[in-house]
Amino acid sequence: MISLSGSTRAEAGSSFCVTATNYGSGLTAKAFVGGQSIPVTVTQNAVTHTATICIKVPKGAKGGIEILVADATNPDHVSHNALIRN
Amino acid sequence: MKTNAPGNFGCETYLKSWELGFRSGSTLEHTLACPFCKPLIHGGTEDCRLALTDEVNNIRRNKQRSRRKFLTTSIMGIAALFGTTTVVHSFLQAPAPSPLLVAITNETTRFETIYSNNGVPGIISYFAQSDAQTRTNILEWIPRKRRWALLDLAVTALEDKNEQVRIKALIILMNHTPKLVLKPHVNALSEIRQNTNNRDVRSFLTELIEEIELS
Repeated sequence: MISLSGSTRAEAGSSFCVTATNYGSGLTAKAFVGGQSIPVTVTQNAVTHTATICIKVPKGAKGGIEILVADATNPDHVSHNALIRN
Repeated sequence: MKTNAPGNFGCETYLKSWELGFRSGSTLEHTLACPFCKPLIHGGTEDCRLALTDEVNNIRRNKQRSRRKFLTTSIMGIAALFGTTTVVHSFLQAPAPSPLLVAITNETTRFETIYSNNGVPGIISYFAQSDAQTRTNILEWIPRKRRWALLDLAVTALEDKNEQVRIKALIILMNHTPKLVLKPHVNALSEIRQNTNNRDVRSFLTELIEEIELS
């Protein structure tokens, strides 16, 4: 099953990244900030077989960040959640 | 899930007519005004009506956005509401539904089955027996399916032993739950704020309680 690790606190206006390990083919990620979908950058490292999932937290964003990740074989999606400090 | 509305109109029929409206270049409002769609709006199941209300509100809020972007941002909510990827897949005209969409749909269908068979106690019991990731996912399902009867679960989860579950509960309450729905829970939230040792939970709850009281 996919594992996600990363901070549980984020700063508005900064980048926020989590690391995914133990994933299979077809890795997909989505992110929500304050309930709104935002673009995600996924960078995979074939050597270490880890993926870094990054977002830019908009300035003035409130509440939390939700990152949802899945692959072709995992039946359930995995999420990582963080709170935004302004 | 019950998908057949009175008058033999079902959610799938509604979604297909909506899709046709988009493809022909008309606006959502135009599609909804068509005689074929009207019975769906007024005679549809509760889930159909809620989905429709949401989508109309979304499109009004996002008028300036492109149609494609609107569809993409709405797609997960629609999939969850209708418990199927088939119709949603045709919206996007993609070669296959994404693994994420399939995963979320499968999961929400599982929770829906438990809820249909055993109601609120069934979900609470499932929550209590589940691992941290599943507990997090159950919380996500509450606003997705508008099961506000389970909001007590999210409030209780603010004291969960797992930090990710606590954060998810806060996010559900702050970002995904209408303030009006939260009003009856304000005393429980105040109590948690008073008793928690977690500084972040305390400050986020203070902000949330102020917003609820002002609403």
